[in-house]
Amino acid sequence: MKIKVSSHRVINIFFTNCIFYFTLLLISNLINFYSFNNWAPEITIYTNSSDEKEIKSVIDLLSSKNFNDVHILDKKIYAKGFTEESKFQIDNLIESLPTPIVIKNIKDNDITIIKKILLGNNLIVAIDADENYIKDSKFVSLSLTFFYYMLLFFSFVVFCFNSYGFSNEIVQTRINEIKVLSILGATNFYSQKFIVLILMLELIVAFILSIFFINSTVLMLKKFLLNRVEYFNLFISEIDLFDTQNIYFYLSIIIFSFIIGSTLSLRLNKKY
Amino acid sequence: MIEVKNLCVSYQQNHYILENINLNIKKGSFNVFIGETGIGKTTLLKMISGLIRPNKGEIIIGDQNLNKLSQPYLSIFRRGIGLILEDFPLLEDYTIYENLSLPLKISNSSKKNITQKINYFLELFNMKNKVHRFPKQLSQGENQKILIVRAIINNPFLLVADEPFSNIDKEESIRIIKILQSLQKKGLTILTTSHEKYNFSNKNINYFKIFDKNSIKNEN
Repeated sequence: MKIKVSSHRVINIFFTNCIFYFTLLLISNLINFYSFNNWAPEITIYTNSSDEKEIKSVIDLLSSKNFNDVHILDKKIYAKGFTEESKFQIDNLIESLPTPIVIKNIKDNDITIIKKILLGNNLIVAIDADENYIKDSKFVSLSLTFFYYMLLFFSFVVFCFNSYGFSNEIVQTRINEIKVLSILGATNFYSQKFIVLILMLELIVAFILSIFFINSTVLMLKKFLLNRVEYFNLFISEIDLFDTQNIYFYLSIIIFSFIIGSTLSLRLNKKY
Repeated sequence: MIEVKNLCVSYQQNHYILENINLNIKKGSFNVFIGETGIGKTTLLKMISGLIRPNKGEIIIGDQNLNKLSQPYLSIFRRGIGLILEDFPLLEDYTIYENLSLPLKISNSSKKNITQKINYFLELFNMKNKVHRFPKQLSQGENQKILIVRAIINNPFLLVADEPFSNIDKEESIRIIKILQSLQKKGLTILTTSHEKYNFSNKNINYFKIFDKNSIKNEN
C-alpha cells in the first residue's frame, strides 16, 4: 500500500517557516535601512551664496580632503506634500535662504576638520551640527545596527532550526504512519522513495529560503569588507545568482540540507 | 477458538509480567479482562493480537499458532483483527474518512466499497457529519468512537479493545455495546479490558479477573 506524505501538513510547515523567516528578514532590513539612511550622521553647511561657481569651489575643497559624499541639497524637496499655494510661499522662502550643502557619513573628527578647512571662508554661514551631535547620532546608528545584526543572526538560527524541524516533522509523521499501518497489517512501505522525497523537499525549501537570505548576507559581508557602502543601492540591486560568492553560499546551504536529510533518513532507517 | 497455553512474558530478564497463563475463549463470545492498573491486561491483549511475542507458551487462534507465523504472515493475519489500543491512535494528518479507509485499503477493497462502508458505519455511530474533519477537531469521546469504527469496519473475526468505553458516556456506551453484540451474533469474538465490571450492561458478557501475574479466573 502506498503512503502519502500528508500534503497539507507539509504546506503548512513550509509556509509558516517561509512567512516567519521572511518577516524577520523584512524587519531587520527595515531597521537596517532606517539605521543607515536616517540615522547616519550627516551635516549641512549653509552658504550665503547662490553662485554655482562659488558653491562648487566649496565642494571641490571638501572633496579634496576626502569628503566624497557631498551634495547640494535640492531645494524643491522641501515643497513636497504641501498645497500649491503653500508650495509657492515655501518656494519663495527657500529661495531667500542660503544654499545648503549636505555631507553624509560623517566620522568622529570630521566636523573639526571641516571647521578648519572652511574657517575664514566668507562663503560659509553656518554648520548645523557639532561634535556632540555626531556622538549621539552615531550611538543611535550603532545601536540600530547592532539590533539589525542580532535579528539577522536570529533569523539564521531560526532558519536552521526550522529546516531541521521541518524535516523532523515529516519524518515523525512518517514514523506514526508506519507504526499505525504496520499494526493494521500493511507490509510494503516504499521507504526508499520517501527518503529521497525528504531530501528533495529539504533541498527545495533550503534553496527558496536561501534566496531570501542571500540579500542580507551579501550586504553583511560587504559591510565588513568595505568601510562605506551605498546601502540603499545595494538593497535594491538585483541578486546575481551566478555570482561566485552566491554560489558558495548556495553550495553550503545544499550541503547543510544534505547533512540534515541524511541524518534524518538514517534515523528513519534505524527505527524501521 | 482462542487458546492460550502456559503463556509467559517479561520485559526484563526473569521478571515476568504474566506467567503460565491458560485461557480458552469461545468463538462469538464477549469477554472482558478486569483487574488493577499495571496487572498485565493490555500486555495480554497485545500478545493475543500478535503485537508482542511471548517468551514462553503458545497462542492459537483458529488453526493458526501465532508463534509459528513469520512477521509478514503475522501482519497479514492481523488484518482480520480489529484493534483499539492506546498506542494505536488515529493519524492526525488524515481526515476521518482517510483514517477509516486505511484498513480497507490494506485489504484491497474497491473505492466504492470503502465509501459505502464508511458512510454506513458513521451513520450507525451518528457521526456522518464528521467525515471530512481531522481527529484534532473532534472531542475525545468522538475520537474513541472513530477508533471503534476503524476496528470493526473491515469485518474482523476478532475485536481486541483496550478500555474501549473510556471517554464515552453511559448511554452511548450501551448503544455501542448493542452494535457490537449484533456483530457478535454474526461470529465476532470480542476481547476487551476494564478496571471493573461494566455497570451499564452485563448481558452475555464473560468476565475474566486477573488477580496476579499467574492467576486469571472466570468470574461468571
